[in-house]
Amino acid sequence: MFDNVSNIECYKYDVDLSTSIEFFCTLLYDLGANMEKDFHVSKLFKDEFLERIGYRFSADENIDQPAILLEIAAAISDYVSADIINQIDLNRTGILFLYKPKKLIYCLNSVADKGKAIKTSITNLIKEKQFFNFLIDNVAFESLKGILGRLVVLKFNEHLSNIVKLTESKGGVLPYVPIEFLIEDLIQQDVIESEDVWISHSKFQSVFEIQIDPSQEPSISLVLDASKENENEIGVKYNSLIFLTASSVDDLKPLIKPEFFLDYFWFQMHFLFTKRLPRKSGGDSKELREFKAFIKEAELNKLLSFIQKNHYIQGIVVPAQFSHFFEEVSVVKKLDHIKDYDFYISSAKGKTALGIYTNTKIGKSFNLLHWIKDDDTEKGFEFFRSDASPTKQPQEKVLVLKPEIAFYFMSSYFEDFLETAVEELKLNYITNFEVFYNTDSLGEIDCVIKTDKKICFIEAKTKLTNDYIEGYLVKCSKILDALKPIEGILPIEFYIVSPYSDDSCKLKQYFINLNQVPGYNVEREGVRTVPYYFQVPIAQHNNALLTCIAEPEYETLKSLIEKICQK
Amino acid sequence: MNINGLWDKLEPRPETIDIVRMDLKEGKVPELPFFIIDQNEVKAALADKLRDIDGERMQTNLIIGQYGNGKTNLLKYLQLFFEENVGPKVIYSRADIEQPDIVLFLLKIIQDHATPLLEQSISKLHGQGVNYSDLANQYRDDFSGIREYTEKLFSSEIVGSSEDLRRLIYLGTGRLYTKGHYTHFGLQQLQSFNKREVLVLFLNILAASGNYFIFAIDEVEKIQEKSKLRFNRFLTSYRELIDLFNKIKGHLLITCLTDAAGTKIIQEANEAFFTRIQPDIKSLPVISENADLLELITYLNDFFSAGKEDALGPMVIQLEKKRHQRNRDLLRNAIELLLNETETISLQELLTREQGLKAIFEETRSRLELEGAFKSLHQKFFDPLNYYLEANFGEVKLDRRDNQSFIDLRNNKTHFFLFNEEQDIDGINRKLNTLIGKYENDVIIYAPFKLELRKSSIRLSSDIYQIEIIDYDPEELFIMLNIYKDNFEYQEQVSKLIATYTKNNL
Repeated sequence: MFDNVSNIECYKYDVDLSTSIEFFCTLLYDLGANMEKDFHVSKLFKDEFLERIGYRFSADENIDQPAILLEIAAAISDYVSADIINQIDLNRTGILFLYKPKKLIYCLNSVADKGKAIKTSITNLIKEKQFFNFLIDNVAFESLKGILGRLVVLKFNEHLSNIVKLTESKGGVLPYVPIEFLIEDLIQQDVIESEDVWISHSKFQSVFEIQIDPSQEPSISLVLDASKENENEIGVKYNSLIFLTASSVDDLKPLIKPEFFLDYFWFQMHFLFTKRLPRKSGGDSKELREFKAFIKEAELNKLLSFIQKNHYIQGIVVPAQFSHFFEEVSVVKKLDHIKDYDFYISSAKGKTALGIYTNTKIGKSFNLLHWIKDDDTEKGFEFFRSDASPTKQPQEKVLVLKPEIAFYFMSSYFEDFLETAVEELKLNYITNFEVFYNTDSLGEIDCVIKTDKKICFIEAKTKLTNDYIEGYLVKCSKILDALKPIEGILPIEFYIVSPYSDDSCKLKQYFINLNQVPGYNVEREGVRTVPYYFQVPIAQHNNALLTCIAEPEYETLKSLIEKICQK
Repeated sequence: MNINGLWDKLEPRPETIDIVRMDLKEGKVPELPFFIIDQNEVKAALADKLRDIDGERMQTNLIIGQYGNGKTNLLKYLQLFFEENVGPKVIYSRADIEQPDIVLFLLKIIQDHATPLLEQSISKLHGQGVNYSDLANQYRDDFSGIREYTEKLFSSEIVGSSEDLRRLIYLGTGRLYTKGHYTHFGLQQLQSFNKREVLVLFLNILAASGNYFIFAIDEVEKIQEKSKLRFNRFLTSYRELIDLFNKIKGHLLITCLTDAAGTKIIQEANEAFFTRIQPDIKSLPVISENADLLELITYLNDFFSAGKEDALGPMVIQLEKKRHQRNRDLLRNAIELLLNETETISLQELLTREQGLKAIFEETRSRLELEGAFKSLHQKFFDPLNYYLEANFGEVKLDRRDNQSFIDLRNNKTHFFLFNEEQDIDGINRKLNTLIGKYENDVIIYAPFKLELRKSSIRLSSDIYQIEIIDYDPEELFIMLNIYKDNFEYQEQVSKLIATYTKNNL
């Protein structure tokens, strides 16, 4: 299975205020013993307070006062350390979910700092609570109260730096599963105190898109594995969700209803396996926005099939409605010393178009390598290389995509194209993420879709080429290695999808011939590149196939995907 | 209660024999809770207590023994024994550092292990028309606080509704505690103050219906190590419970503590508790009598069907000579002798073999202790290690911050050091898989003795790589590395010592 790379961590917390409480009680005792005539430790705190914290004086008269003091301090410490978590505003911490009986907290993005930020925020919230004041309120001697009230201004923070301990409980956890996933007969429910469960409503909304209505009393219970007598806790049910406080992903497997295997796997994809990659933000301009709005337009889709080298069109007429996405420029190629570079330049009557100077001398050439100037007609260029007469050549004009659009077209056009289609089809999908297997990254994955019956991994490329197919086949094979545990249980399919293609696809002619699909693998009118639809086998995995698709028209691709998903 | 055959040999189950075999193969000292050699004092004390487990009062024993002397083994023996024989139920648990109050801890144990039994018992007693106030000290003194609760518990309407009965029990054990639940039953809220009486009531209900328990709480030293005040809380609540023993009809509480945290610490921490528990403190000494050693080796010979009946005498002599300081070491040595395996030589023995090493070892230990070096060992460990490795391994790569590892580039091995004896196995497995993925090497794991890490609990995502586990004491190895670094004249001796200590891995 893929590695668990969840950004949700689970910790066991422990709050221990004993150092500061012991110090405080000792201080109280010393002051009291010196100030009050009839002082006895048993009179230090109010009776109802001692009752509340569960301390009871022993009838044993052999216990001396310092020993009693220590016992009281221990009882106070026990009480306050356990109770303080109820007092603080957990919304101000990064906690997602808290379960008091097992002292578990789940939080987000704490992996890097090993929970340090959470620990600090809990510590600071406890400090804010100034529990010393609570102790002072319960001191029975008025005179002591006054002095102590003034003393606590000192805060004694040095005693409060190490009061919270977090120990990693189980790394990368499934935060919850819907209870409907579990086989009813295999689980039991038992009553627990609803106060023991705390959930961050806002985080559940923002992270999981789960709305929790605060005005509704949640239905909370403990969910147990019915087949076991002891140590049978699975988790805590909160409305229709179970938070896994004891079970691991693997423990849960036998309890999942077969009809929910796919959903359970999908859940894990969402929360455990995928490391989301940030969306490339890209440029912004009026034209780019307009261009994006036309993404679904068949005319534009077809036109773009004429794009060469991913950025220019030559020799065809661009319909007027799209012309503002392009700009006419002249191309200059194969200049001496810089043959690998093409230059796109504009020309103005009689003006210099491009001058090239090198700071590193090349052979016997001048450092001023080239000087290119319009020949006063805007139809030809004059090429200067020395004081000799320039050579003349006609200007070669092309239509290039405007810069923001050109780069968008290369980087995200087709991913957006695909995502828009998937989105419009209302499919369950995850885009742009990385998965890992045995700590190795399997690389970026553009899209994975869950249908009612299967999982489809999709690679989006602007152009279908033999190299891309071969490259993706390697990735497919690794993904299948990782998914061995669900092989034969859940259908997994692989697709590489592009709008356009190039001639290298002909290298796959053998596979293309195996299964001809009408309308594909032949030229289509109005489209420069060949639309493809064929399957190639994935090495080392029997019967596994990669489906390769080149379909330039948005609506057609959308219905193709729809059909694939219905199969 | 009449208990026949206590302390007799138990017949191990086939699956336990497999586990023992596996442990032996890995060089671990197996758990053999089927027979207790020697320890006659503890055995006699426990036998006495068990005879009266259904008597007029609850009883306790505090068992003290150093790590590896057989405390857990003893508790496990009782557990096995009563799985096969009629008698009390044994509930084994480890002390919970976060719940030092033993009363609340026991209530939690009852909640987790005996709620259904309590329900049945209440119904049964209700049917028999038992006088419930007898179960709660006739509501005298502090018990007046739970009168309402007790009466409710035995009222017909509650006994008739399993759901309500369970809720009401949970109010007693602590799972439910808010006011709303009390109001539901028309009860005043019970305070933690009343929990002592509730425990007495529950234990009496169980006893009255013929269900007796041995509550075995192991590793109490953990609370002591954690915090002075928590340990005090533990001892105080233990004392309070002992003071209630005469109101509880039966049951036995066994608590275990290591020697290091021994009697003196208890006495200093809580004199009042100490005076009460003193007669019931029993220790587990090192087995040293000839006859006991013979019994041990004879038992092992039978257990492993080693067929060495004729050679047992000389083995006893060898065992005796070694004067093992821990029963675990003794057991290991006996098994090694019996199964012809290379004997593991203890560090103490190694130290005494080499001239002057013992003294410098102790000296270095106390110096490091004074410097507080043992406190964040996982950080400080790698400096002297680095020095040692540079001298002995040449090219050294340490991955100390994230992975606590040394990568032996020449032999393609990753040495992974664990320092925390509490570490959970999931975390270890995750780290191991990361290490394997990162360095693609076999891994040698140095695991603290007390962690008792076993190969069977390790899950690797790839089976290409080998794992070896070296049990060690991080402090001991750290001391040796420091001696090496700071004392040129001992370097040769110490490097030999380190090599033997780490089974020729370092």
